[in-house]
Amino acid sequence: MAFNAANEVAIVGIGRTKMSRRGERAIGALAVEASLNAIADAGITLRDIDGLSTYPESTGPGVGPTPGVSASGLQWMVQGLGIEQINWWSNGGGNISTAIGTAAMAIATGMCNYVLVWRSMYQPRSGAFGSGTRGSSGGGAPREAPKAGGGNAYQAPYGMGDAPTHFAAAYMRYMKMYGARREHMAAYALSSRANANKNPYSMFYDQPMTFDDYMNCRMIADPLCLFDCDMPVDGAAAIVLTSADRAKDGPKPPAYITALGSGGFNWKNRPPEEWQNDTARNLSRTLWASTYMTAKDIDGCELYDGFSPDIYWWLEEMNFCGRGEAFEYIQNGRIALGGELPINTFGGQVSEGRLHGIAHWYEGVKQIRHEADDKPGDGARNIVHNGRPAENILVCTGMLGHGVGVILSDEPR
Amino acid sequence: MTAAQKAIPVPDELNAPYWEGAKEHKLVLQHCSGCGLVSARPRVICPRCHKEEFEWKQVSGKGIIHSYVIVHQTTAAGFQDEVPYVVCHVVINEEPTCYVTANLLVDPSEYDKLTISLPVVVDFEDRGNGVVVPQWRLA
Repeated sequence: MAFNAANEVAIVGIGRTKMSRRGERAIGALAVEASLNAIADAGITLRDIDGLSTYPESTGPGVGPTPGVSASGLQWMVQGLGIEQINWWSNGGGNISTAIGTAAMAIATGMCNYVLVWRSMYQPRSGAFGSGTRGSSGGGAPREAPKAGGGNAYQAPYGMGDAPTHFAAAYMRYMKMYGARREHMAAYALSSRANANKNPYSMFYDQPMTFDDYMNCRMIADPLCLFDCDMPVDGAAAIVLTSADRAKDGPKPPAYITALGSGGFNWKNRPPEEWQNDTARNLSRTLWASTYMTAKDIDGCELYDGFSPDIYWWLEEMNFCGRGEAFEYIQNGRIALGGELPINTFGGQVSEGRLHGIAHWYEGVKQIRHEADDKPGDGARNIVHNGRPAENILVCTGMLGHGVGVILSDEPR
Repeated sequence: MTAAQKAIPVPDELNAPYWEGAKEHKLVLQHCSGCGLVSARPRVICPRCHKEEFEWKQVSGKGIIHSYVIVHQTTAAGFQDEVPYVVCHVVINEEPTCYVTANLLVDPSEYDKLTISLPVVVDFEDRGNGVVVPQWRLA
């Protein structure tokens, strides 16, 4: 079985906001701004939107406690946008990619004509993403020990809290198994940063990175240093999907979904962080089954990088190289702009900021439109191979079981 | 200035025998009565044979390091003054799908020598007030 609606759905609108660190504006306002930008970009109006899809609804990464102020779930956005009527909606999944994947299926099955997908991110005002039990050593009276129940009982008492303490272990294992070193990862850190320096939306637009910067960066959870971690931000982005038939009527070149695959779970109770590999493996199996194309047809990739070693899991499981080879594969400029397989041309989350996957989709569309600009019209980040602009971009986001990947193409194929 | 204390595991109806075992310095894990699957965290139905009966039994407390991380910066309660510390996922000898996570109690001067597949044995850390947590040490 495989996705059998290749070439029937396209992304026709993209929009976003500026990002900031703990910004002033309400997150809901950012989500509305990004959505209206995407709708305008698609050459339609709000009334044309008859499908809504997002992730998450109420709790999850990038979601604060107050709808509208620190979150933009679907029910709030119906109010925020002023939606009169829709034919289909979804607010599940586990990453924005699943919201996009189910939106593509809703279009392909005729449930609706235009789906708006948005994702907003709220940076916690204190502490860190994923920290289960906070206990920063502030002054004042002795604090009581926090209580850790359920699954957290097996983690918090051991100092597992912030996301890096969870995700670093799989990378450590990889390094020990295959002999990868931090020097190897510097290739991704530097190429993604160089890309971010050509992306005005990036939090690091004006900050280049040298090899020494990377190697001397402070450790968070060895082997993850600060620059291996994505940067939490406030911000939002949105996309509009429609049928391939309608897509032809829009003002911008459509980005056709020419292949689609889905992540997967596995009962075996490895440390959950290694679900990453299962996700990528299953996504690879189902994506390549949906197309005659192979990895050789891909001009560049936008790959989820909450942490930089995610790049390894994707490259290996998506068949660009063998298992245990990605750390060597990325060397010598191969994944930089101008290389054989540019990756995360916008900077990735590690060098643009943490929009939790949707910025990868935004950039994938930019690449297919050949308008990955620094200054308007300069195409500074455009992927070009021997004078030929990008035709097929692989976008894969999601990691822990959930996840959807697609090939975006300039023509149905 | 006093740092917050380390989080206290709160036993629940499913995992109480694990924490009771720790108080007696025993690593006690849930075994499926049907197929013998050993699970690090308790289940209500076995994913392998779908039996719903389980026994809690002590295991050898031996295993090998599957993966680990050396934490240098943390917001976890009670750990700010302990960095760098090691969080370690261990495959127990009895069951290749069973990973038991704890700290690896090893001197920081030894961190450079750590690697995957090293044999480890369980130990028990008494944190006072009746709180005892399983921990790992190099074998």
